[in-house]
Amino acid sequence: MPHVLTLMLTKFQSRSTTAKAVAFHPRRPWALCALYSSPIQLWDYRMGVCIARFEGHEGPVRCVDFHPTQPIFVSCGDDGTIRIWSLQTQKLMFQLNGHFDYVRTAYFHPEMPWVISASDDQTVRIWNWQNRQQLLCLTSHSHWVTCAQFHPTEDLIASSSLDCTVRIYDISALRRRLSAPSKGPMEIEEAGPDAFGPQYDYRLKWTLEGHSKGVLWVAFHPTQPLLASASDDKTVRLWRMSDSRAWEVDTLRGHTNSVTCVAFHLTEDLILSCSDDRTFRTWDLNRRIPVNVYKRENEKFWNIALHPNINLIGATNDGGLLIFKLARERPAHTVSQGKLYFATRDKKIKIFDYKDAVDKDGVLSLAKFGGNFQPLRELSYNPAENAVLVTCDSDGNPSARTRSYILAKLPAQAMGPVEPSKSMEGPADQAQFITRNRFAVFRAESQTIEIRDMENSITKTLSLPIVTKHMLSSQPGHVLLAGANSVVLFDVQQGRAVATLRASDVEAAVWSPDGKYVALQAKHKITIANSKLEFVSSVNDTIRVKSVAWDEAHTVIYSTFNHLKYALLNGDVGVLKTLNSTLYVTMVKGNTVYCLSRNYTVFIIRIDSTEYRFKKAIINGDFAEVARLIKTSHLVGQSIIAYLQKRGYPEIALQFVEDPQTKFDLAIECGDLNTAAEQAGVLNKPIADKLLAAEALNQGNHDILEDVYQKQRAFDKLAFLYLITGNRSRLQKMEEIADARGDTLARFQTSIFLNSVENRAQLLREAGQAPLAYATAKSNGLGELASQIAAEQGIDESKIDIPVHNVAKDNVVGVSIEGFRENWPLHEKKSAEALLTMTSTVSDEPTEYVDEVQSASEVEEDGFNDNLDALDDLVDGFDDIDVNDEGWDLDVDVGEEEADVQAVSSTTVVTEKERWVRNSTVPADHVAAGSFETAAQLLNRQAGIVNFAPLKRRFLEVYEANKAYITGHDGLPPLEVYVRGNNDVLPYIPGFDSLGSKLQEAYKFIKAAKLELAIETFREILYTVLILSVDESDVPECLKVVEICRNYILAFSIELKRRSLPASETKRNLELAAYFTKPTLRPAHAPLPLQVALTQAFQQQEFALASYFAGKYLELVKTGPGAEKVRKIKARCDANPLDKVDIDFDQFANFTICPGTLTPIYESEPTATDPFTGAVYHASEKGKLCSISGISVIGAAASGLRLSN
Amino acid sequence: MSFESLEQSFYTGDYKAVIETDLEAIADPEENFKAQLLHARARIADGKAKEVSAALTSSNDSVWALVKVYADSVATGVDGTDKAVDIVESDRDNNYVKLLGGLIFARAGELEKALALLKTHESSLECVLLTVQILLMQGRVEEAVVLVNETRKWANDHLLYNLAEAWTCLFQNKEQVQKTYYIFEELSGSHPTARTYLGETIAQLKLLRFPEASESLRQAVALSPDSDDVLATNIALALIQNEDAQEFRDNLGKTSLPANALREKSELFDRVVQKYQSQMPRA
Repeated sequence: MPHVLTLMLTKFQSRSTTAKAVAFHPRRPWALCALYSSPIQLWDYRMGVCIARFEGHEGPVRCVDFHPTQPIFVSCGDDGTIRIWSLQTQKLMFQLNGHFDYVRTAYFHPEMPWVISASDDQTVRIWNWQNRQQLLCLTSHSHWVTCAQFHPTEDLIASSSLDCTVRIYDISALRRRLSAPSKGPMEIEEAGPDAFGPQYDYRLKWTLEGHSKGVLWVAFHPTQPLLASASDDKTVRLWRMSDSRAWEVDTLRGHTNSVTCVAFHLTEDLILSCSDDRTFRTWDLNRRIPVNVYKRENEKFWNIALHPNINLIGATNDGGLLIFKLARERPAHTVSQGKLYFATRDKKIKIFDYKDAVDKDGVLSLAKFGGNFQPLRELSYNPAENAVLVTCDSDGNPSARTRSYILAKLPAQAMGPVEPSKSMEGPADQAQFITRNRFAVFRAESQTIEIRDMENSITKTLSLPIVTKHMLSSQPGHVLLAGANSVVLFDVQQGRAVATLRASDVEAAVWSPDGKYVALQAKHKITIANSKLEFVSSVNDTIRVKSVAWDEAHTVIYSTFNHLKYALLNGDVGVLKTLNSTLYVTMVKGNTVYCLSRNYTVFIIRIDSTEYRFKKAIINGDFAEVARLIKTSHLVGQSIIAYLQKRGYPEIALQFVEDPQTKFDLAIECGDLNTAAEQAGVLNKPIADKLLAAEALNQGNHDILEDVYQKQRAFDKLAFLYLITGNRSRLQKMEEIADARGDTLARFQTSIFLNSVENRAQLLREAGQAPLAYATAKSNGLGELASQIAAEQGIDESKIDIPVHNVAKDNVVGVSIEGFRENWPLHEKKSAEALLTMTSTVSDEPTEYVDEVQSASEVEEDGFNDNLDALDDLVDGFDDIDVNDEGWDLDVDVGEEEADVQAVSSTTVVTEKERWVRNSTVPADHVAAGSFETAAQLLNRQAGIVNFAPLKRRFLEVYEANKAYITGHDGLPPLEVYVRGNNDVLPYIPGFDSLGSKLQEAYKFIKAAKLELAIETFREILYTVLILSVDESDVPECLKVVEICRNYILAFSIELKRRSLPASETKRNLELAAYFTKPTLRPAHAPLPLQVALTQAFQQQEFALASYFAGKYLELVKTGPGAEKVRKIKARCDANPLDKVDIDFDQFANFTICPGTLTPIYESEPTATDPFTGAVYHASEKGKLCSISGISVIGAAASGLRLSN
Repeated sequence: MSFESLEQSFYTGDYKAVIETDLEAIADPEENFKAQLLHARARIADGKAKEVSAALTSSNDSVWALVKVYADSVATGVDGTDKAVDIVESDRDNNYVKLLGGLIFARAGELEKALALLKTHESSLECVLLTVQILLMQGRVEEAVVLVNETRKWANDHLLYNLAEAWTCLFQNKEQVQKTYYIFEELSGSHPTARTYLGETIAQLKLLRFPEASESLRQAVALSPDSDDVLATNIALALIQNEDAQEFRDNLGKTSLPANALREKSELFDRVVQKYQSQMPRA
C-alpha cells in the first residue's frame, strides 16, 4: 500500500504534487497545504473537501501558518515574498518584501503582531504584519537559514542554517522597546527600524554546534527548555538550555537520509521527525530511543505540523498532505450495573457511578501493562468477579507490534490506584468476558477464539465461521463476530453461528439495557438489530460515528465527530446538540447523557429529548404523551410539521403551524373544514376556495360549501345546493337574484327548482317561446295564464289538447326534507382534538388525573356492585330450590385443598407446572404439567376426543420428556427440573422433529406390504401431533402431517377391508378397489392403488374400468416394465371396452370416500366432519368414533385443536 | 485429603472418597468434627445407616444424637421428627443441629418446619444450600434467588454456594441456566462424578442442546448406571430424541420420586379414560 502509512490512524489524505508545508487552524477543521507548484490549498479535513486555493506566489511555497486568533494566514516562498492572506475574502491582503532570496519559513508570533522569517539570503527577519514593517534583521548565520521559530512563551527565537549551527537569540529587548511606556510603539517605528540599530534589539545567546552537515529544522519544546534540530547529517539532535548555557543532550540516529523536519509532541513525551528517507519516525523523548517508524514507498517527507488543541498530526510529502493520529483516543470503557469503568491515559482504571455522579479516584493502575505510548484499547468488566479485562498494544514498529490482554481483579475497596494484586496476561487482539467466569480471547491472525477461565487457562479453542475483524460483545455465552460484510452471532458454548446479519465493517456493538436490541456501529452507519440479530433499521451519517448508547426506551443516542444525535427504531434520526469536542456517549438516562471525553473526564450533557419522545409517541400512537408534549414543551419548526405529515398525522401537525398556506393544506389533508375555511379566508385565493369546496362537498358540510359558492359567485351551484338541501327561502332569494341579474337561464333553472310554474311560463312567454309557455301554463293547471298566451298568439285554445295536472301549488318536489338545517356528515373527520383532548386534560394536571382514575374506578365498582346485586338476586332465587339436591352437589373436598395450600407456603407460590397450565391452551402443555384432567378436557373440547385409552403412551411420554432430576442432599428426594421449549416459558414437547422420520417408517411398512403396521404407525403420528406444542410457523406443517395420515389410513383401511372380503362379493371387491384409488397418496405410492384396481377390474373382465385405471396408471408411470405391461393390458381392454358388473363408481363424478361406510360421498350429500382429523363422513355417521383416528367423535362440537399458543 | 477436598467430594456425591478418607489427617478440631459428620452422612448415604446408628448408641452430644435419628430414619423408613424436635429444642444455637434437624424434617416432608429451623443459622453455607433445595422443591424460586444473592456477598465462590446458585439458576431462564452449565462444567472437570455430569447434562438439556446433553449423560451413566436420577433424566433425553426409554424405566427404583410420579400419572390417566367412557359412542 504505497499511499497509506501502515497502522497509523489516518484521518485525511490529499493527493497532489509535492506538498512542502502544512498548518492547522486552531479552531476549525481546516488545514493549509503549501504546494511546491505554488498554490496553497485550504482543506476541510473532516469533510475531505478543498475549500479554497490561494494563488499568487511565483514558484514554490515553502511554509504556511495560521494566525492563532485572526482570520489570516502567512505564507512564504521562493519568490522572496512573505504574503498575508485573508481567510474571509480568500484573497491576498499584502506582502512583506525585503528578502532577496528564497524564504524558507514564516511564522506568526503567538501574541505579538509579528512574523518571523528565514531565508536563503542568510538572514532571519522579524516583521510587524500590522504596519507591514520589518522590525529586525538577524544576520549572524553564514549560510542559508533554513528555519526560524519563536519560542512559544519566552522572548527567544531559534534559527537553523546550512552553516551547521542552530542559533538562539534573546529578543526581549525588542519587546521592551516596543512596549516601553515612554516611547509608544508608533513613535519608535516611525523612527525606523534602524533608529537604535538592530544590535540593541537582540542578543545572540547561544550557537549550538554539533551537526556535521547543514541543519534543516529547529523546534522548541512547548513547555520544557529543550530544542530539537534536524539535519542533513541524518540525525536529530536534542538540546537543553539553562539560563547560563545550552548543550547537546543526545543524538537520535536512525534516519537514512537528510532529516527534513522535527517536532515535539504537544502532550506525549515524543519527538516526531521526517526525512528524505521516506519515513516518519517517533522517538521516546526521555529515553531517546526510536518508538515507531512509518514508511512510505516513494514519497519523501517534508514538513510536520501539530494541531494546537486536538491530537492531530499533519505531515507533507511528495504525494500531498496527510493528517493522522498516532493512537486512538477513545478511552477504553464499559458500563456495568449502573457504573462506568474506564481507563485513563496513565492507565488507571476509574469508576464513575451514574447514580450519584461520582467520579472516583482510580482504583487500579495498569501502568506497567502494554507499551509506554499505547493507551489501553478495550475494557471488559465482570461484575461477578469484580475483575477487568483490558487490552493494550506494545510499543515498537507497527509491523512488529503485538497486542495483549491483562486480567486483573479490582480491589474490593477503593483506596487510590493500586497495582493489581494478581493479574494474568496473554496475547490477544480482543478480549472480553462472556460469562461470570469465562472470557473470550480473539486472535485475528489465527482467526480463533480462545475461551479461558478465570485462572487464565484455555478451556476451549474455537475456529470462526467467517473471516473476523472484530469480536464484539453480546448476550452471555455469545459473541458477535464482525467481518467485512456481515456480523455473526456466535454461540461460544456450541461453537457455532446462531444468526447472521449483513452489515459492513462494523466496529462496535452496543446492546440496549434490556438486551432486546443491538446497535452495530460502523464508520458511517448504525445498524439496529434485535436480539436474534434480525435487521430492524439502519441509520447513515455522513460524519464519522464515534459512539452509540441506548436509553431505557430503546432510543439510540449517538455521537459523531461534532454532533450528538438520536435514532429511533424505525430509522428516524435527528440532531440533539452540537459538540465542540469529540465525546463518547456511555449512558443515557432520561434527559441526561453521560459522555466520556478524550481527556478522560465524564461530561454530563442535558438534552432536550422532547423531539424524539414526541416522534416516538407518534409512532407508537401514544396520543396522551403527544398531547402532554404539545402542552408542556415548545415544539416548533418546519421539520416537526413535515414529520407529522409524513407519518400521516396532519391533524397534529396543524397544532404547530402558523403559516396560513401550510395550515390550509394541512387542514384540507386532515379534513378540518373549519380551520381550512378560516385559512382560506386569510389566503383569499381562488384555488384555495376550490379545494375547500371540494372537501366541504365531500364531507357534506353545506354551510361551508354555501359560503364558498357565495364567495365564488357560483350561482347555479348555489341554487342546486339549496335545492338538494331543501332550503326554499334561499332558493327564492336565488330567483330574485337571477331576476336582478337578468340571467334568463338561471331564472329558468330556479323556476324549475322552485316548481314555480307561473314564473317559468312567464319567462318562456317573454322569451318568445309561446308554445312552450302555453304548454307549461296549461299542463300545470294555470288555465288563465294559458288562455292569455293563446290569445296573445291568436290561437284557438280549443284546438290544443294538453293534459292538465295542477301542480303549481304543490310543494317543491323532493324538497320535503329540509336538510339545510344541519350538515350531513358524509365523511368522518379525523380530529386532532379528538385524539389529543381526550387525554390532554389528564396530563395537564396529574392530580386531576388521579381523581379521574379514582372516579372511573368508582364507577366501575358501582357497575360491579350492580352485578353483584344481580348475582345476589339470582342466589336468592336459588334459595327456593333445594341446594342440597344431589344434582347441585359440588363434588369438591374443600378441607383437603386448604390443607394442601397450607403445606406449601404461607405466601401463594405458583409452581412452574401450574404456570404452564395457567398460561397455555395447548393440550400438550397441560399433559406436560401432569394436569391430565384439564388436558383431556381441552382435547375433548378442541378436537372432540373421547377415547383416551390409545393416548396413554403419548400422554406419559410427553409428561416424562421434560422432567429431569438433579440430585440434591443425601437423604432427600431429587429436585425435579423442567425442560422448557424455545420460548423458555412453556414445556418442551418432543415429537415435532421426529414427525418426518416417523412418516418414513410408516412408508417403509407400506413398501413391505405390512398394512396393519403402517396404519398403526400413522395413527401414532396422529396422536403425536394431537399432543404437540410448536411454533406458530410450524402449525401448517403439523396440519399437513395430519392430512397425510388421514389419507393413508383411509386408503389402506379400504384395501384391508377389500382383502378381507369373501371371494363371492365381486361387486364390493371391485368397488373397494376403485375407492382405494381416491385418497391422495404421495407420488411414490400413488400407482399402488391403481395397480390393485386395474388388476381386480381386469380379473373380473371389467374392461372399460380396467382401461380407465390403466390410463390413470400410465399418467403416473410412463416408462419401465410395469408401464409396458399395463400398456398391453390397456390395449386388450380397449379392444373390448365393456363392463359386466355395474358398480357404484362414477369415474367422472367428483366424490370422496366416507371412512366409516367406505362408500362414495357425492358433492351434494350431507356430511359430518371429524373435528380432529378433518375426515369427511356421511351425515349418518355423525356421533360415531372416527375410524381414522379411533379416538375422536365424528361431528362433535369442537373449537379446533390448538398446537401453538 | 484436606477437609476442603473431603467436603467437595461429599457434595459432588463421591461418598466413597469420603468414606475412604483418613480422618486422623485432618488436624484442625473444628474441621475434624465437620469431617466426621460428613463421613457419617456419607456412610448413611452409602447404605450403612444401621452400622452408623449402632456405633452411636450412647451419645449425649446433640449433633450426634441427630445423626443417629437421621441414620435410623434412613435405615427403617420411620420418620424421626418427634425425637428430632426434642433435640433441636435442647440446643438452639448450633448450626449442625439446625442442618441435621432441617434434613430430618425435610425428609419427613415437614418442609415449613425445616425452613423455620434453618432460617436461624449463622453463616452456614450448608444450611443455605439445604434451604435452597427445600425452597426449590416447593417451587419458591424467587425466594431461593433472593437467598442466593444475599449469600453471594459473603460466600466467596465456595463450592456450596456454587451449588446453590447452580440449582437456583436451573429454575430460571436460559441465560441463568447457562450459568448452571458453566458451574457444573467446571465441577465435572475437577470432580468427575455422576452428580456433576448429571448437573451438566440437565443444564444442557434445559438449553436444548441435546447431543451435548447425551454426551455428558453418557459419562454420568458410566459412573453411576443405577442412579435413579440419572435414569430418569435418561428417560427424558431418550424421549426427546425419539429413542426407546423402556429400559431406563424398567431399571428405575420402584420407590424413587420419578417412578412414583409416573405411577401416579398412569393411574390418573386411567381415571381420565374412565371419566370419558360415558361419552364413548356405542359401537
